[in-house]
Amino acid sequence: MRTTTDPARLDRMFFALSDLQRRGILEALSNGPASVTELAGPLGMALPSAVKHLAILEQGGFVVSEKAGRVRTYQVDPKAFDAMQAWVAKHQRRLHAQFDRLDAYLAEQKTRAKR
Amino acid sequence: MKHTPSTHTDFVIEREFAATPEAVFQAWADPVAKRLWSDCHAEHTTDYSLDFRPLGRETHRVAYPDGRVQQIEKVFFDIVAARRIVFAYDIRLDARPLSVSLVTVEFSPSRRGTRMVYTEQLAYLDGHEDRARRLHGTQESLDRLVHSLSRH
Repeated sequence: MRTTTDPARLDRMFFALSDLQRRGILEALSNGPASVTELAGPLGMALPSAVKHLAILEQGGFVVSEKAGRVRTYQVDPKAFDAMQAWVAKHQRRLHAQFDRLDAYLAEQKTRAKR
Repeated sequence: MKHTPSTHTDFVIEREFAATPEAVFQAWADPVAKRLWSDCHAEHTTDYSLDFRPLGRETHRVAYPDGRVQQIEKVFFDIVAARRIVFAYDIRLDARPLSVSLVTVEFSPSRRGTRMVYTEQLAYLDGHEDRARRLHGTQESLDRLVHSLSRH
């Protein structure tokens, strides 16, 4: 298995989780797979906005969908909640934070050299 | 006791820096410079040392306020100035091994200055609390995920 986690992907993950309604959808999906209609009703959501939220969750890597006939069914992506994935995501975030500081350090060195 | 098999993954991080490969390499090699950007400057660090040469070690110990102790031991295997650094390291929490990794960092000249490719191969071991305990429901693991992502 190979994963390349770029900052853009982490941004998509954080964005997906940043919304209360989307977290509600994930909680609802934890009971099992469901269609948009089945999800939107109990959550008091209009269909188009449920579709939009599900698309963002899918881009964030938290949800996968499958179309059977005319109905698209959504479910929680088990990989997103795997303990190792969470550990690796946290680890990568730390590395990116360190490399951001390395970038700042190198820029500072350059400024100093110019003086 | 039930044996939890180790799992493995690898990942690549690519970054560009507006500095020469020599300067980027030096930031890894010089203990004073490295303290300024790596995690070893972090809060709660109780021990840090860097012996940057083949078979040299880097040691980092952190004592968290809640009593947990994290220990990172690193050994450098291959060092080519301005080109490549290969090292292995492990992370232990309260003496339980969490992961062991092999890392290759390569530097090459690029338009901006330097392209750095960080490749890590990681064995995820059974020292994690969250592996011993089965996760109940998505909400708990979601909370855990949000927590782990928002903390560094």
